[in-house]
Amino acid sequence: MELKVKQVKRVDGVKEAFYIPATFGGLRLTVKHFFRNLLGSKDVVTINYPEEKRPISMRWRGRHRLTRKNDGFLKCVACYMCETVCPSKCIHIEAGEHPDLSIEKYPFRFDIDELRCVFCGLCVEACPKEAIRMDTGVVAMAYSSRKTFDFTRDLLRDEYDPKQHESPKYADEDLPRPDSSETALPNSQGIPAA
Amino acid sequence: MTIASGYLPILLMILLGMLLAGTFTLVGLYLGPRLRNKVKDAPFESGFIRDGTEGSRYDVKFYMTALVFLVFDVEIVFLYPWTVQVRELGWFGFTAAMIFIGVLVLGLAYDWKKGALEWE
Amino acid sequence: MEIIIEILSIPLVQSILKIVFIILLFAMPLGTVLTLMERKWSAMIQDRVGPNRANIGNYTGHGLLHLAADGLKSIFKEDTIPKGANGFLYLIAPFFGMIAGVATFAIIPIAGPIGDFTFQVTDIEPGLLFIFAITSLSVYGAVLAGTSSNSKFALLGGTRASAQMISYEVFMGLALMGIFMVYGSTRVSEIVDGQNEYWFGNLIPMWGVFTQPLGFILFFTALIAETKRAPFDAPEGESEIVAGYFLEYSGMRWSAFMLSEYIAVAAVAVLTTTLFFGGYHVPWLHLWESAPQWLVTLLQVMKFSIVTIFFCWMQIQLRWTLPKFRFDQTMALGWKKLLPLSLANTALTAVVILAFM
Ligand code: SF4
Ligand code: SF4
Repeated sequence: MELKVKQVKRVDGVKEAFYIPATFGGLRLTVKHFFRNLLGSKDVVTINYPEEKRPISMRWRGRHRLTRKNDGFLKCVACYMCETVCPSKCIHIEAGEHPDLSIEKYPFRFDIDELRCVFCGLCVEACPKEAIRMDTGVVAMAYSSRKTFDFTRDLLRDEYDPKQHESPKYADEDLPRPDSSETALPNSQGIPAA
Repeated sequence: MTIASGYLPILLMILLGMLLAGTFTLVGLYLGPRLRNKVKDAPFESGFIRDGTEGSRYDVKFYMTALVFLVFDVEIVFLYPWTVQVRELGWFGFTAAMIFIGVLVLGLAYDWKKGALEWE
Repeated sequence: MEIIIEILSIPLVQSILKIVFIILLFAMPLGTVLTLMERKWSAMIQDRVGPNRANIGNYTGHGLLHLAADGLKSIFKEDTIPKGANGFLYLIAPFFGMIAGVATFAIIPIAGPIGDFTFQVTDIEPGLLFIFAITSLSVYGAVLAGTSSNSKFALLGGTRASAQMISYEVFMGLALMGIFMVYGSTRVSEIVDGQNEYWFGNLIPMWGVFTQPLGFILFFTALIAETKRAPFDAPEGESEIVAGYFLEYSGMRWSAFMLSEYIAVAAVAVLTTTLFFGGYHVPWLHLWESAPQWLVTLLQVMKFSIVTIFFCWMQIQLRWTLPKFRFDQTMALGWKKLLPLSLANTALTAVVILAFM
């Protein structure tokens, strides 16, 4: 197979060998940027992150949420589709029997270990009930402890609004503390979900 | 101006520099924590376990550079008196200096040709 | 009152006062502020916001408090010494850079003399030869730090630093020969006064940059390489040998290296100002003969500071303008371009001086 070689023309010659004209050419650019930014930050492309945020697309895959039916109960029917499809095995569901016989199952436990999640969105696509979505717009999650990344069913409910808390980060005490490490990280020890 | 009054301030400056660096060192030694362990004491090696020591073998180019430096630095010292007195010494001094620089340039050309200045 | 004047007229007391003034009120603050300004200016050049987080309450001072935060942080950091390091050499290595940086300011006049009183710590006869001597001292800092750390990267950085610094010392000396010839002295006060002459009546001041344009470029290049700053920062090469010779240093000793680097930046700017931009002389000020002495001195200090700050800024600007030189390119640039050019500059200057004398 013939390889395609792109020839880059090198500028050589006396002018380049002396460096000075090229240096001044470069200086013209950097000095221009310096003064434009000195007098009013005209070219600045970075933002002061926690105070300013970039607009995100409607389709941005952020933190998950579990949607609800009109009567307020979770839409999820604990079909294990998402748990099965999840490539990083970070969803852990335990099905429970609902007292209302018209509803077959409901998730008794629904944990997502957001540290393992790769935000691929496959769980959203797999769900037959549109019960799980990733449209919360939570772009970055920064917490101080590992356990905080373990989102339980109640934290994933769609009315859970982090902004209601005084800091946008979840404090540790916002979250239920699992009793043992086994229950804390159900699938994170490399054990595939059953 | 006597020698002492001209150079004493320089000594003071040097002492001041030592004082500054000494303060820095002492402040760091006494105010910083001292939590030593084996890993922290090991020299940085990009996270790898260190194998062997760095030894004392240098590339020969460094010796070459040092030699060429010695030659040129000493020659420059001989040129300073001429540069200051260039008007008084006139064309005679100029010719002498040029012969001197010419010998230097010959040396440089020889080094260059022999590859003492190559670093590839 | 009289006893105070008596004490003040003792030369030693005067020079101590001058040292305090020049170092503690000029060089050190400039070096310290430069540590922040380098980051702030770099941010502006690269279209970033730059450091602005350190705060007391709501006051951030546009990042000014980072100076205090950084200082406090490094004071309370642990001072590690790697195992196998040569304790004494490791201890004294930061001293050399600091001494070299500080002592450079000894012969720099920051304003014209008032009567017998000079704004210069000492005006020794060898003048700039002293600068060459003292800057070569900073080679020891790099070499000792590199060899005593018992670390491979530090050793690489130290050897590179030694080769680069001794090479560029040669070109620094050669580049200044033109200046010595034009002003006929190595003494700083005479060079500065020589730059107060004018060409064509009162049209162009005889600044070093006009009498020695090539010499200026060579000298500035050599000085930047001597301080091991970008684009000649192969001895520190963050991307290959992490930090070079001061890799193993931490806490306040690391700060000592950093501060001496910034003092060296200030020293480069000060030397360039003094030798090539008329020093403290305000151009065309002599035309205003009735100017009061205090105003003249004030203007001189201001002019000196402005040009100095301009050259500090210029070094940071150059850092973000030029791509880094590989180490062999650094050496080739020195020995194959700067050396022949500076020899030619010397010869040319001599010919011009002798021909038009
Ligand atoms: S986004 Fe992907 S990795 Fe994350 S929970 Fe859903 S399926 Fe698993
Ligand atoms: S979220 Fe959807 S896919 Fe997952 S268990 Fe519930 S209903 Fe099934």
